Amino acid sequence: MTTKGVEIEGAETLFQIAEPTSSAPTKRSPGRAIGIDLGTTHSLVAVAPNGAAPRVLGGARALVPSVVSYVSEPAKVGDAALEDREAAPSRVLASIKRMMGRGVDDINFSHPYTLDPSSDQVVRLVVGDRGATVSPVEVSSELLRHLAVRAGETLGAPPEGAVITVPAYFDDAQRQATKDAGRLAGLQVYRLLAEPTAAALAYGLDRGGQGCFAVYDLGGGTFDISVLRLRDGVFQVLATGGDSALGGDDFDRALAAMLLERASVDAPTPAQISAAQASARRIKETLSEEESVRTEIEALDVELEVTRDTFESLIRPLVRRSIRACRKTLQDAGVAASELDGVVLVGGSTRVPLVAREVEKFFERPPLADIDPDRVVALGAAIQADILSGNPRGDVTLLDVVPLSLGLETMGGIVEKIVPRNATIPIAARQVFTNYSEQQTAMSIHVVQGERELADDCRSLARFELEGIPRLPPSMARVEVTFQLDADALLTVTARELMTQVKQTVEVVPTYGLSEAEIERMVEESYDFAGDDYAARSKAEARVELGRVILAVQTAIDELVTIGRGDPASAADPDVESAIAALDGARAAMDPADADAKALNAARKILEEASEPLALRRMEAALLAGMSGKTLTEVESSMDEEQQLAPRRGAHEPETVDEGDKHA
Amino acid sequence: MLDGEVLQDAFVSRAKVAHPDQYSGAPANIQARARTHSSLLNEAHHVLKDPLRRATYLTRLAGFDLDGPGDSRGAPTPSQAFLLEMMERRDAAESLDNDDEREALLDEVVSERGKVFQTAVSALDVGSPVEAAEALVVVRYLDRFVESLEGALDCR
Repeated sequence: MTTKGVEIEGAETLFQIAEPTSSAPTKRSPGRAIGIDLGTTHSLVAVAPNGAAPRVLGGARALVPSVVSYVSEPAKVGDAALEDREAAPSRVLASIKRMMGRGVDDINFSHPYTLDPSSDQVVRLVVGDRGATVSPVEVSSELLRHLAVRAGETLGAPPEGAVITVPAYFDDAQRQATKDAGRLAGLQVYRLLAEPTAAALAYGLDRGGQGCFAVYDLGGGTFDISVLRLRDGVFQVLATGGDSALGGDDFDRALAAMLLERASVDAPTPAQISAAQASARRIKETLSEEESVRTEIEALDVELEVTRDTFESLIRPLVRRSIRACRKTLQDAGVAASELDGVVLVGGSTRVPLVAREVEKFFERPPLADIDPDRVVALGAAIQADILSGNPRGDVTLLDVVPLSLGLETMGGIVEKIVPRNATIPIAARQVFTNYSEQQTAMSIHVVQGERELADDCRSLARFELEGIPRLPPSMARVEVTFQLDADALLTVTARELMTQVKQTVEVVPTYGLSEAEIERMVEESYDFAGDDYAARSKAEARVELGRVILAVQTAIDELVTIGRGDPASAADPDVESAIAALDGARAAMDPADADAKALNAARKILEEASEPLALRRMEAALLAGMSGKTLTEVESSMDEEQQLAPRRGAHEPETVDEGDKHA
Repeated sequence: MLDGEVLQDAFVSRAKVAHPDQYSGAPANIQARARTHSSLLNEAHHVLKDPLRRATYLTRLAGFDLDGPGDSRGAPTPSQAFLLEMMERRDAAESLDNDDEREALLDEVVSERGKVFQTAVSALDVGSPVEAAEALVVVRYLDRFVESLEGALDCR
């Protein structure tokens, strides 16, 4: 059997609904993209402009503590924020990554902050005297902005877009929160990239690797394990697993608890706890080099000795937990430890000797750690950022997976899985719901993520109502809902009633995130609305954007004309003709130097629509070329003669979502 | 038979062209098309690489949708006798009190599942989808049985 049947069969349904949710231009300026490793304990920024080797910025101070101080305005970030910590521990926020995309109920770990009691789902932290609060998304955006400024100094211009890394095991809500933080920081988030995949990219490109690799990534607050296959520039993630609440910070906490116990402190004050944790961290780091360490902790009024053996017996259960996740992930990938070609260590916590030892034992080989485990993720992110800003860098493709299954709650709270974990993304799942009576005009749908059988045990992603179901006899109204996971593993939902073809725009209210409207408002507030300034900026942007589309369309036309030279039939190609006409219109719109943003954007929209058939032909031609091994030119010219694609295109006429249909 | 290497090569060469990253600077509508193409490709690969999913899909093409709504030509309903037998076997499994016995039972069920699945494959080969659908329903019951046995072993 060939794959052809599958593609065409599915195409009929999917082609109808995969409309862009946003018509926002996707401007890309090669060389102005950055890679950010947004970590629990520290964050880094790296660049690799225009094919250059990636490098982390900031020299000796490359690792920016992921700490934001709200003691004074404006907020301070990194080392400067740490200085405020002693004076006002509750207003200096650290390890905020643990709260990203989490609900109030999820914050079941100890932290020194005050949560806003009036916010019952979304976490808000009180940081001001008069009860001023910030969300974890806003705190993270401060970190991102700080890193973007640092990168701007190196690039000579503000960075335009970013690839931000996330733990592979982050669910939809955590990813969405990270992306929102990027937008709030004024960055176009080109991609959320899984941390182990970023590390593999940095390693793989370095040495032209081929084969199967495992990436063991133990950071400050999260653990990830990914198994990848590398071949001819394609990085295919086979399986990923982990624990988004396991990291080196847990080592510190375990050790700190022991220190408090040894110092006979029964009811420690917040200051004593933070002193114990600071000591624990120092002791842990020293024990990576020494067999034992003697230390005096003033705040606890104690002097004691800790040996590496003692420390290792404390953290062994935690390390074993990570190894169990490795076993499960290898099983999911269908690869035995002995079949791997290498194991890569990522994350500062892999410097702990016990971790490296246990990894070596399980994977039956010494792990690779020759790229600094603290920096390798940022380096990989910078490479991917450069690619997505428009520099192909030798034809690299990353095929990532969704880390956790996506499901729907059915009768009795049972979860029906619609996308299994480790499915390659992007991927879509369709589900048909029927009405049970003529009176039923709405259905409610609950989307969850996780592996457990009961919806209550999984992460709630969103609940929404499908409304406007036509009054039809039982089982006659059939609503097809499509769940699309994009390349960032973020979910969008579309629905249509199959009998009447009524489309629905589904307003998905994230269970724990901020709504789209809230983010929009925050983004707008963060802009400098100094009137003319803003108008001038959007005018300039619109001009650049229209120029880019004109260039792209002209290139496509030139290519077709070159191929069809000497063939009079191609001169009469209707797709080319309509594109040429639209091109003339667009150039006319560009002509007046004072054309405003609205006029320029309108012209761009017309040109994009008029040239869509042409662009689609190029893409389908590229796909066919990839399948048959022919060059693009060969395929395009053979299609020109036979008009192979015409009947298929006719059958799948693109639909534009009519605003009027929204509330039909 | 499907050659895994051939499938893998075919998938990767297409994925390279269709992935949205290849169209990162393109207008939103083109990016949406790339996402659609990639999604279809990934879905196809997901079905083809797994023998059970592939057999289920082929059975659906022949008119028997194991995951379809309960009405016409859906999954064949297993016989009362089979359901009773499954219940008894599950009860018996729960009363086992040591892991060696559980391991032995697990091996037995896994090998039985392999045989039943082979029946489905052979039925598809000779073009009798009804028989294939019936066998696949049994495979699903056995898979769930295996899962619960593995779960019981993991707990200890």
